[in-house]
Amino acid sequence: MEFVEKELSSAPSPLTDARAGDVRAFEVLLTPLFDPAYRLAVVMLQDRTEAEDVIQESAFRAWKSFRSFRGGRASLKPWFLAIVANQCRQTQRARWWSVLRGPTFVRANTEPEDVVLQRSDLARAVAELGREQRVALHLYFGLDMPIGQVAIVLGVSPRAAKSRIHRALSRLRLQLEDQEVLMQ
Amino acid sequence: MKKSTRARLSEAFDDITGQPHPSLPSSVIVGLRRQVSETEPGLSPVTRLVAIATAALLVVGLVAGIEIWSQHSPSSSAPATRSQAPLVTTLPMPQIVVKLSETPSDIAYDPGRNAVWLAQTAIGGPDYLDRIDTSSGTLTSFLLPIQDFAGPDSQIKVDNTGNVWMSDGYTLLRLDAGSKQVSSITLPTMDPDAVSGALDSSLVTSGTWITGIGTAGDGLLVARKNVTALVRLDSSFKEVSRFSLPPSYAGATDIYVDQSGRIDLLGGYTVGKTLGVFTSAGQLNQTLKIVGQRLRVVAGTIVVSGGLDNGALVNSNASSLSANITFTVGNLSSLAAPDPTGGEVLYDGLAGAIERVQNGVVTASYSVPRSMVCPPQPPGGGGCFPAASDVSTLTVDMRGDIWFTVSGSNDLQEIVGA
Repeated sequence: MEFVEKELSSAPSPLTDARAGDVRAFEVLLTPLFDPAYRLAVVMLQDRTEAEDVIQESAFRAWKSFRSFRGGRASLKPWFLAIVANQCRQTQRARWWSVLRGPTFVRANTEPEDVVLQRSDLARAVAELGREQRVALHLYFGLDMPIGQVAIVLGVSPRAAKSRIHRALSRLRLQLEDQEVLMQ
Repeated sequence: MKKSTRARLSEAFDDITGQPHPSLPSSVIVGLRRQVSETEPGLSPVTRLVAIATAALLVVGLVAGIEIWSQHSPSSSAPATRSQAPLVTTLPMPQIVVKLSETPSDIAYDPGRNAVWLAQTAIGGPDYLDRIDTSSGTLTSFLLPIQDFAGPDSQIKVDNTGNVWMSDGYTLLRLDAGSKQVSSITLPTMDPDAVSGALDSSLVTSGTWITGIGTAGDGLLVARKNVTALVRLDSSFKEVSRFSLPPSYAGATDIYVDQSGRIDLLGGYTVGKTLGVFTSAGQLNQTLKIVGQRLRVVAGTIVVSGGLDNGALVNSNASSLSANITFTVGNLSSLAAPDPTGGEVLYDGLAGAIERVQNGVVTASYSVPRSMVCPPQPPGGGGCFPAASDVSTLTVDMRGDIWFTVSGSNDLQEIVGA
């Protein structure tokens, strides 16, 4: 009987060093992920200050549990974002007033007014989605992650992740159908 | 030109998130270094004070636990009780190590390889015996010459020389440690020691499938439903001996053979549940009233898993057994496994929690996330309710890391030990 061997992990040098307890090697691995992690935290929490705190706490949690990280460098991003997402959920559970928060916009636009308004409407509609649907859309469209990685961050199966994205898009279309923002 | 959905949503998310502050990476790194330095040797005075206070509380809890345990008479059938430590900590969040193709039907820890074995079976196949290296997370899958769902009676056992045995209905499989070849045999439904009506398909109790296996030397002991005999096979599946069993041990659900040849048999399938201690020649020496599904053994520590006496710790010497059922959390869906670093790990099916237990005291727990269950809706709607997802398999490795799967999920998860 033949057997099939599937290697799930490889061990490039920074990973090995980080696993051995080298915090500098861990920083090298983690630094490129701060940007997507921050964006994910803002989308989940709708609060930039809290998002920064969450990134700080998540980085430490990731360090503490890095011994259990099995994947290669490519799977570091979904692994870390999953930690960030969990930390955001914990943060939200700790505050009863989260539903009162609305999104904040800081980006200065130099585009035509109708385009800006249209984008504002879309951003507002996105912000009004449920947290998990919003996050699924952000991971897939905002961070351009493949479905498999989206599923890891959400802690669900790829099929469930696809379904969540589909439902979120359907809801957006309903909210925006009069404005023809999402026709494709 | 009309923009795609992806482009529009990407821009919308850019609007929502904005750019992170340019100093974010450096501030996070500085904070990380500070936190790491505080958790390593050379603790700050405040951290040291907190650590000392926590340690003192743990010692108090441990002493209390030992006292509770010592008050409990071994092999007593007193009502099941469990103690909570003064300080029950929360276990770390589990990590998904491997996404399997099917929900495993059994799990076994292999201390010789420091690996976890899993049986993945599905109707129509392909079926696999999977090995996960607990240090690297490497998955090795061995394709099995069967294409069926093994069901709850499927078992995996690793013998002293590293060969892996698995039962699947009427089929036995053996993975040779040296050649990495899988061999198998399908037993005939008829057995000379089958009870009357064992093959009467009009009876719901009929059937002679394999209910329990236990490694013995380089061979295997096999128990079958409705068969009042224990059969010993050699490494090529040839029957070398058999001895008769009392009727209540027909269909024993698990077998453990210790180094002296003593045979512990958890039986039987249809008549109650009793742990019997047999000599290697098949003579029944002792019985213990224990209701359980499986015997989980690591380094001579025997723990009863499943059933009303889940978590019972079986104390053994050369010729006899006694059982301490202090930790029992009786529930059919409960599970237990010995922790090679000390104590045991339970899945409390009633509470929906995985718990570390030391000397009968729960010291740490993790609540399995609940999921919404929506039964068929009556007219007017009946609503949904949150229900815990049962842990379906559970084992503990040499580092104390807890490995488990959850019903309905194909994820093998790990809770890193303390």
